Amino acid sequence: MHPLLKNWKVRVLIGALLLSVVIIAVKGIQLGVDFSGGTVLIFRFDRPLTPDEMQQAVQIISQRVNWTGLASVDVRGWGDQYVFVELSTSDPREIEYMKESILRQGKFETVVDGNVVLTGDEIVAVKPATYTPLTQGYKWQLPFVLSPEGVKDFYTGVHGKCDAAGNCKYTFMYIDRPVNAILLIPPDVAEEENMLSSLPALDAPERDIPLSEFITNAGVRAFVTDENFDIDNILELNAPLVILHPEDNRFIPFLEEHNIPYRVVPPEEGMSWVWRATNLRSIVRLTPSVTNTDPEHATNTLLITGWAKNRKEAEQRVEELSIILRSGALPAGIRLESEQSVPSTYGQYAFWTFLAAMFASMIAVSLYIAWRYRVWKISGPIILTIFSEILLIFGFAALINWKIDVASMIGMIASTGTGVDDQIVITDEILHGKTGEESKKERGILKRIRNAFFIVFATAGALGFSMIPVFFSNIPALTGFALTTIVGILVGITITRPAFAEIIRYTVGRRE
Amino acid sequence: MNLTGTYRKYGTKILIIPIIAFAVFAYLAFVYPGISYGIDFRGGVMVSFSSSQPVPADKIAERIRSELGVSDVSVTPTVIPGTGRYGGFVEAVYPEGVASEANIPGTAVLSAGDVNATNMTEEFKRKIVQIIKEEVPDASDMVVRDVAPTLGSTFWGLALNMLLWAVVLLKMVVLVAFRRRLSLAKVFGVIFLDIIIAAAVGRGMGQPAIALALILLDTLLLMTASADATPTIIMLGSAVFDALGMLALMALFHVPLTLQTMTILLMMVGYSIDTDIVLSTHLLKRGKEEGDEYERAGRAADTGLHMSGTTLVSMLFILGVGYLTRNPDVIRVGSVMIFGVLSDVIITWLFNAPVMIAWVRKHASSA
Repeated sequence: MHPLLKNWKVRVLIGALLLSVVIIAVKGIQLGVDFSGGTVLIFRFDRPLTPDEMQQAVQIISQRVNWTGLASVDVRGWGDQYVFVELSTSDPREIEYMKESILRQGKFETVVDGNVVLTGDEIVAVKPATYTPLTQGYKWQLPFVLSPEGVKDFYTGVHGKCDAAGNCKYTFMYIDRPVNAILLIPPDVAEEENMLSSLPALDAPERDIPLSEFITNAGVRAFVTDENFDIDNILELNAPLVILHPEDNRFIPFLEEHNIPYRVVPPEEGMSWVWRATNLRSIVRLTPSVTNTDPEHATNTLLITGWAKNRKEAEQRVEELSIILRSGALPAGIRLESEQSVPSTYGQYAFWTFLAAMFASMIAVSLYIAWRYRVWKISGPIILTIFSEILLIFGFAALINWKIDVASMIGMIASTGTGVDDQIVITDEILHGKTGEESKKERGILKRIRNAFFIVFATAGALGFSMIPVFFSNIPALTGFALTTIVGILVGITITRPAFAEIIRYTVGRRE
Repeated sequence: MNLTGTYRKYGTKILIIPIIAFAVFAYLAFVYPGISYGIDFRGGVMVSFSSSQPVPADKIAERIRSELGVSDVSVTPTVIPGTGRYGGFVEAVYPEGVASEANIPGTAVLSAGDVNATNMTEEFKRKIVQIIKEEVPDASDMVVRDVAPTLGSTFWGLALNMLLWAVVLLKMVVLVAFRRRLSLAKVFGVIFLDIIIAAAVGRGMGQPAIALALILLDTLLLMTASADATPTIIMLGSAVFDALGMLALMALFHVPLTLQTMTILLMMVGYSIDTDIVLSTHLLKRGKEEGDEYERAGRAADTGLHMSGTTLVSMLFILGVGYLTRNPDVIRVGSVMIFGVLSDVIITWLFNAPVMIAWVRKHASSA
């Protein structure tokens, strides 16, 4: 075995590197908007929110953007008044639509047989839900209170919607029902979604609600775009909006030519496209207890009851529903304060340029040091050290699912670039005893390394500590920088630089 | 480079260089041209793009000025080396009208006024993009970013807080690492005081500038209380000089203060402590057997200057990436890092070194 491999500090380094490689291979490296392309929006509430309100606001905004079904999103609160929304798209049309759906209050409607039986204005309050454990799974109940008009409208609207055998109609809940819009359904989608269940998942059991019921309740005019379909026919219909599947992109030039507003709704794996395209949020089956009640004698509280596999799923479902019942209203007024879009082609170019520069800088620095000491053998350990530090930072980032952005990359270059300082101090301390003619009294190499490490720790402390407030500022554009700098310094002083000292000691020792 | 001879020959006369530099830096940073603040802190729009033809920067700037009534606009054309492609970035601060419409802290913003404010800033951004597209028809890879003035002032408050805590933490590291014969009680007493001051400002009590002054003042008090604190104070003083040097060079080269450059400023102040520590270790922790004060300082300078050299090499690469990716933030970051290294070299080797040599000599002879 190579004598260096017996040294525990070198072994720790090798172990850490292997671990890093495994973590990166398993979890992969995530890129931020700067490199993957996308958009960051910063919204501000017109008053500071309590932590609970902020959590609720983040959930509501996530739902609003997820409902648009356009791109993957990351929503997080910042301080007590701001929300950051990170979108994976930089398409101006999609961003416009997203912004609109976040800024605008949604309109809640519950529809049975094409008639609106309840609107958001008629719901006075949504009460806390109750959960009951069953032998298998959980039962949850969500009560909500109607206004006097609401009570009258609702009970009149649903009266007699159950037959004698107890088979009841479904109520369809929408946020922003696309009334009067034209829905173009590709033939394969029409066939696949011919029958649907009361859940949006396509593989849900009991697909017993026909597509026609979805169309009627949504208030849209639907066309299947098979060979018999003629796009010219929609001109006379004067539709406020045309909703398309990406398969029907061929109609876009026609719509643009005739100035007809349109929206392309991409499908989502395993989910019903019709649900998404019509802004349908939930389907709840009526029960005879409601449909048989005389509106004059009805109570003002309604109850939605559901079943879930576990408590977590139940809470999720309740959370979703209560947001819908509140029309997805945010706790305070909101407005857009900042927007940044990065095209994905540019992002990729930027990423590779950064990576190339990092390696070029690594090689240049090590050549410079080797030239300065005229000892070419030490350039190897220096490159190895910088490379290890970068790999370990990437590994750590992958471990905590940190998204690598421009700031993180700069932090890496900066922490490894300044880390080289420590390697110079170490090399100087070790070589000094050999080359400094003025110092006749040799001191042990070990003592010199101890000296060097005092400096290394003090300098790392100063640099690292100055970055702590930056990290805690929580500004996305800066935290990446602070994180990679601090991690770079930490792996430097605990793992790579001790190993570097050993390797240099070995290299120099052999020179004697 | 060995500075032993220089230190021996000129002694404290070298101080004239950093003293002049200090005056010049202060003038550049605070009088003319003065530090400029980026859109992060003032609110505005930033657009970067690439194209196949040279960018008519003056024309774009002129049109934005006249058509949008913006006084504060900069258009920087770039050439992307080795690709035959060009690029540019445009930065415009919102003019008063737009800013005040969008920025009314404390007023109700829920309904129509809200929509208008958003629309005015939206409209402003749309027009800038339109002007760029008209002047550079094949502009592509467009990266657009805008910041509302209210967000800008939030960022500014946060940045000041960040600065304050960084100063407190840096001071703590230096005081603890180099306390020498200072009693721990004194050191922690001062640190505790600083933490209380910083926390009070964080909770909205008092101005950050006053807090900063208080933190520097208690350090000076510590110095009067104990002669042993002198090297530490010199080290902290050099951090202040370093920040001033960076601000001056930023003002001179029109690099605005943004969230990123502010962070780099903090980082470089932390980094500048590196060379100070190398110097003081050689002077204070080494004995006569390693040479007299001049030789030890000279050797420290030898190591220190090479440290700065290598750092400079990697910083130049950051700057290079900035130009290649036309990312104005990265270019600024790279520039500030280089400014930091330069002002650190001046302060450490032309100011700290002669002062510390004199102090160690006086201290040694009186002891």
